Amino acid sequence: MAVRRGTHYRVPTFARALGLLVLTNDEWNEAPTLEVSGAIVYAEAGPGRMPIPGLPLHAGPLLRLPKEELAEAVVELSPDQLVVVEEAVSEILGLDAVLGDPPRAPVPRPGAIDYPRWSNIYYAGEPVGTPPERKRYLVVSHDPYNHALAGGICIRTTTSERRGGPTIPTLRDGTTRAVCVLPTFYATRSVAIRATRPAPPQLFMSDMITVAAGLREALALPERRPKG
Amino acid sequence: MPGRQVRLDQEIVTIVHRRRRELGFSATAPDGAVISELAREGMEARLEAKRKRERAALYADWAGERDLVEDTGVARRAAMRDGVA
Repeated sequence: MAVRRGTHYRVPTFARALGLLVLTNDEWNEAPTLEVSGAIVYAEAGPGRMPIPGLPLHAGPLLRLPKEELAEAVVELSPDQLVVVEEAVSEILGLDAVLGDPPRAPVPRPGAIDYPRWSNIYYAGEPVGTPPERKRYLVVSHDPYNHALAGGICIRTTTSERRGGPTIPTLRDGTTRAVCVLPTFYATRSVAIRATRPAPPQLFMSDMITVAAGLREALALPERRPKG
Repeated sequence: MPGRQVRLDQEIVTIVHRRRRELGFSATAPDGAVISELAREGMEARLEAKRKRERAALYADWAGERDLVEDTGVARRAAMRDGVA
């Protein structure tokens, strides 16, 4: 089945949501890759969900999902409907601030840190591979969102030398690559925020700029043009 | 700072005058603004087309490789377990 960006697919395995609005770029979707990323689609409003104009649907957190779990296409969004979701995702990822001139970190959130924090790296998800180990994930959503949603949008990091390019950019250490093309939400309970942290536990701004550019290209998010 | 003057092909000027509405501009939009916008969109389209070609070539090179696959489905299972999806 051809998977297209900007299309809402039903996901029968979901229990609380209807499906996924695919946002990964179509070159990725058409390639023999196993997963895509997009916004979870709900029938009801809720925290962190934005209504899709003209449809009884709400777009929620980004999720990385195997292509084989996508069932039929339900609706292809018009450019006017899609831009609402794109702008919301860009805001959650703080792209305009991080990629601004001068670059700025997203607005922090004072208070207790009981959630995964922007620019921090954690072990997350269930252990996989041989021997089983939890993978490293970098948090790319801003902290007010992470606090409000009790979780954050994360991307995997890898040292695999076979990947690369603008959507899986290499970080400043020269070996770590950020898999910007598959951002996904992890609830705080699935992120080891209190356990031993990977090294380094946090990225500097220069790497976060690289990651933000990778996210913008991977999800084909439009650059906001200055008004005037 | 205003841009420097450039010489445009007559064909471009003619199209801007005759098909301005079709191109999505108001009848009163200044020629300079119309042509600047069209040039900007043309450059963006070319750059995006280049990025698409590069992405397609890069991803095609990875066909059959099995790295980065061991955590396939992990995020979805976590989302189900955590009541997100």
